[in-house]
Amino acid sequence: MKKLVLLLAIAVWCSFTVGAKKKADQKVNIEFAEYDLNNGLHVILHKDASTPNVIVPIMYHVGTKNETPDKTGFAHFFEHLMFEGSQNIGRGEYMKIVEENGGALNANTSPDRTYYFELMPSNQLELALWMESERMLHAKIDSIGIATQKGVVIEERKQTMESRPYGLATEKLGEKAFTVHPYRWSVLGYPEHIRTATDEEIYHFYKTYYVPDNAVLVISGDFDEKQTKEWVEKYFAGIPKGIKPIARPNIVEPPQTTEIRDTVYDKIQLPGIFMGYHAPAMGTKDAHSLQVLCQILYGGASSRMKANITDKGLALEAFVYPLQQEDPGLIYVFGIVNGGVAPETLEEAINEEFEKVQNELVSEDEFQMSMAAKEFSIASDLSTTRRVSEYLANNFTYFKDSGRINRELDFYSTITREDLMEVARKYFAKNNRVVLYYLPESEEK
Amino acid sequence: MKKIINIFIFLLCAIVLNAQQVDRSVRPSAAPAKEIQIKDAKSFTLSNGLKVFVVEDNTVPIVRYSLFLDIKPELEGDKAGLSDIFTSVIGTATAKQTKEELNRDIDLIAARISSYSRGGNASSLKKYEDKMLAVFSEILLQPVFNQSELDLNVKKYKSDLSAVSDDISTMNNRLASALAYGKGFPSGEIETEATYDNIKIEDLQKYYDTYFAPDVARLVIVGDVSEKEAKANAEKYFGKWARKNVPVTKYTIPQTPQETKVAMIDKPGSVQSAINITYPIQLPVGSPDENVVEVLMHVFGQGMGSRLFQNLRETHSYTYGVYSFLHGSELVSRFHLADGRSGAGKVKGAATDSAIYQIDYEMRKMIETPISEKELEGAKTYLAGNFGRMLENSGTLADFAVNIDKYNLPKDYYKNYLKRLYAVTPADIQAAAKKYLKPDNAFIVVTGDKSHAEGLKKFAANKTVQFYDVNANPVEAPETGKVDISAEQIIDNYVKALGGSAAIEQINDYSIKSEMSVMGQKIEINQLFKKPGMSVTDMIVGGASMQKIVFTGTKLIMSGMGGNQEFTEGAEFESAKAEASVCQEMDFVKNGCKMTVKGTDKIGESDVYVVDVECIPSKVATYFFDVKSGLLLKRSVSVEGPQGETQQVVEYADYKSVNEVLFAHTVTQKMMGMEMKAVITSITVNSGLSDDLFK
Repeated sequence: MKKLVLLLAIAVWCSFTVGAKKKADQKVNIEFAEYDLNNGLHVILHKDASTPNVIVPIMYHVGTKNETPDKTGFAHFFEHLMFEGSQNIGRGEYMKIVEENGGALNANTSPDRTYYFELMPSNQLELALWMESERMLHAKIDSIGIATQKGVVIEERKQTMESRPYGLATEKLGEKAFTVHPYRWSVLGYPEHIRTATDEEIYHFYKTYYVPDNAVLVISGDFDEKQTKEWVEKYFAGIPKGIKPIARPNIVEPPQTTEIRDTVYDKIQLPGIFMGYHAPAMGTKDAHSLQVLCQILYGGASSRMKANITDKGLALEAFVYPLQQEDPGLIYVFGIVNGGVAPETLEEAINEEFEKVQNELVSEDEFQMSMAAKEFSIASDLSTTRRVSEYLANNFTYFKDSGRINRELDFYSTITREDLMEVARKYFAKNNRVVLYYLPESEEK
Repeated sequence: MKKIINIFIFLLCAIVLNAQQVDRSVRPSAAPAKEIQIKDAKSFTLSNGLKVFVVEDNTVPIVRYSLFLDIKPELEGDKAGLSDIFTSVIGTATAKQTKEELNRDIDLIAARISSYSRGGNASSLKKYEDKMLAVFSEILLQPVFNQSELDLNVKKYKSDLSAVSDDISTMNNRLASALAYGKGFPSGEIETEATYDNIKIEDLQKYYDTYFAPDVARLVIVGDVSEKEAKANAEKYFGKWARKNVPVTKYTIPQTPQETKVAMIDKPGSVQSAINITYPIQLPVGSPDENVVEVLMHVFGQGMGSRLFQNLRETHSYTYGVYSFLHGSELVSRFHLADGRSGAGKVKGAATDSAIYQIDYEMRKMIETPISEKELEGAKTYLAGNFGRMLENSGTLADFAVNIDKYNLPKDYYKNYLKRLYAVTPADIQAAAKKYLKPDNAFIVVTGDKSHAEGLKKFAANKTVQFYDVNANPVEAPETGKVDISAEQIIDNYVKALGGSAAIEQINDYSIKSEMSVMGQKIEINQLFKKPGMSVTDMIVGGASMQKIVFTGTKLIMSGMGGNQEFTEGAEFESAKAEASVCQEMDFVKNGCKMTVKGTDKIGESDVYVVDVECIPSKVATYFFDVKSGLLLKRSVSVEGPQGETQQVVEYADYKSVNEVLFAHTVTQKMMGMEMKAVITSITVNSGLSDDLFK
């Protein structure tokens, strides 16, 4: 029996004024409002009327880490399926409708969340809300779409991983670094799991994770507040809450106790070194300290790995990348040797840089540089509604605290040089890492 | 024994119903569109000729200064790569500071400064604007070129070059640019180790001395800066820069080719192929066709809603995405494909020729069939929306001002953009398709396994595929290895490997059950055979027969969803007749098939003999027999499909003995980008099958 009950949204209000404002000290302050619908959907409104455009993202709190080891790649596979249509949007129409109405859209999947966004002229906001609500309520999950997207995802894996030089390095690092945590497989998953996934399993995944109480909707740009709230109500309030239990893995990866090393032979000419150090979860003080430290190791032109490794001709490229993940993940350290340099020589040079920061404080200059770089990158990010809305969605999804967007810089202000040495010792120990050598196939014995 | 089955299956959609509270079937309509405001950038010229453009935007406290040189430098010739090396070395030292000092100064204020062969970019927080400009202007006006930096970067570029052959896209891009632009045009020049080695420090200095000058430059200033501040800063940091007499090179402007050619670089064993269709064509910035071509390209290939994307990815799953591009450019434009990241599309190896066929098909459709009003309307609305979004970035306003100045466009050129866009008609689009889509005047460039070359010949006007090396030099087609063994011996070895002719002859009948999964659906296949030449193939989905093929010895009966068909002659009949056999290869000689040993090749790790077999005139199948085991590993044949000629490949693996004869227990069929793998679940031999089964 159809229930014709309109659910009333209860709005929890924050202050609401227009636009991003610079304070006297030049710090950017982002103003926004947020509230929950009765079905648990969190809504964030951020106004910026400088051009007649609006962006409508939805972040679902589901990623690779919600998958089970025998069914990898589902979260990402869904990102594709969500473009197939819905009960009221025909197959292949989704992208077309958005584009024909002047919009653009895309999506991406991480180990922790799946993110969809529509960029629209502001007069098409209602359309964007209808479309997003359509695929949240009843996306077209059927055999034809599943079969097509299986093929596409398998090509995506070939294009971005298998046929790209060193393309499988991050997957292999994950496999070695994690024994129990779901970060051990890649976002794209294993092709055999994609091939053999049944329609029922796929539908079950949708009904579990694509529910309003597992999502945050952001509207950022040029819109009328009252009208927008009415539309949100109209299209989203009737979507039922999830009833299947959401798997939030609380799997703790046991500490790694000895260094793990391996060699991969591939169709490449130049040897590469791919390392992963176990990292703290995002948002912790250690994670912030490591970001500052990684900026000193690989950030500006005078940073240590650039000055002492690439500028010395040891590597074609060498960099550090601290992934920000909800659970403790990895800090990547990658290097591709310059012609004629032995990979061992490059590893030694990298080791030396990582040992130095464990044994000596970084200089005052370096510390200042790193802080200045943070300040610049945050200011630069907050200049576009695209980045602002993603910050808001991230902060709500992971910390249930959208307001962190205005405190991004504060997290760094209490960090000292001593903290950097401490995290270097804690995380950059050799027994906390995996080292993968990529060598040309011709060297395989 | 090895029946080839073509399967087309249409599965029903599972429709999920949900209770609804609002009438969701009504698609919301648009509110009235807001007018897009286009502010003019401020501009002025310094006494030394430097033109300055300013757009103030106070959203965040950041300023950006960009310098663009409007120059046409000499061709690099035997020093190809000069501008790359110049870009790497400029900015590493100045008359006042060493590399270390410069980098430290930049990092202390977290400025982002880069410089290259045609200018530079710098941005920083407003509070560091002065310090940033001091470093930026020093790098652009007083650079020092050191031998050590030259050596370091030449070495890096050479290393990089050694890895070109790792990546099919990079290889494709190099060859495609070389062919489309030619050696007489900057983008057509190819860097090699030798050309990098020819670059001397004097060349860098000479390039700088010749081309870096204020009177050929434009300075663009965007961000938290007023016109007054911008004027003062431009004057202070760039006002004393002296004019030069900068020479202008006349290039050989590339011409659209007379006919379509196919070019290939072999990348043995590649799982994907990088494909490109490319040609140079005239489309000047600001020309009347420019906006029409923009709409045309949006409809044709430049986005996820485009026909190319829908066809190649959403309909055929050949690719993760192939796009096409053609933009207005000053001297010459270039049509090309891309995968979104790099200058070539990537498709699954088995779909190499099918993908090109589909692109060619879409090009011709665009030329021959007028676009509907609805599709045109959608494209215009998208482009209008996109134009509105471009304005979110205030740098766009500066770009507009620069273009108006550089290409001598009317002052209101961009303000009238939407007016021009909305005026485009279906007839305009078709005329532009005729003029700018050139399926018969293109370079089709493919990097992938050479086995795909055969299927590509048909696209070339001269029906040949020209191979190239990684440096775009033509080379002979990679030969399959030469062998001194006859086709008859190879067949003989194969028969022996299967168990010998006596063992094969004693098989009177067999019954094989296999399973395969197509698009997530399980299909059972039952195959029956009985001497002297009767066969049945029955495909069962969900317990019901989808298609049944019976060969009675005199008649071929095909029944299934499409109704019944009977043949007593023709190609279908002949091929069914030949295949109604335990081992049809045994009869090649007897049946008068023409066999040619082409040589040896590799399939995975196995060396194979390659044999062309022609049983029906002009219908050649290629067989690949394992050199070591003698067994048949692969068969490939060109067949007429619903969308033209396509390669059909069947692979045989997992041979196991049944009644002393080896049967391949895994048979994989690849066609039109689809892969269907059948695995045998049971075989019974000589169970005395009744003739009644073959009716």
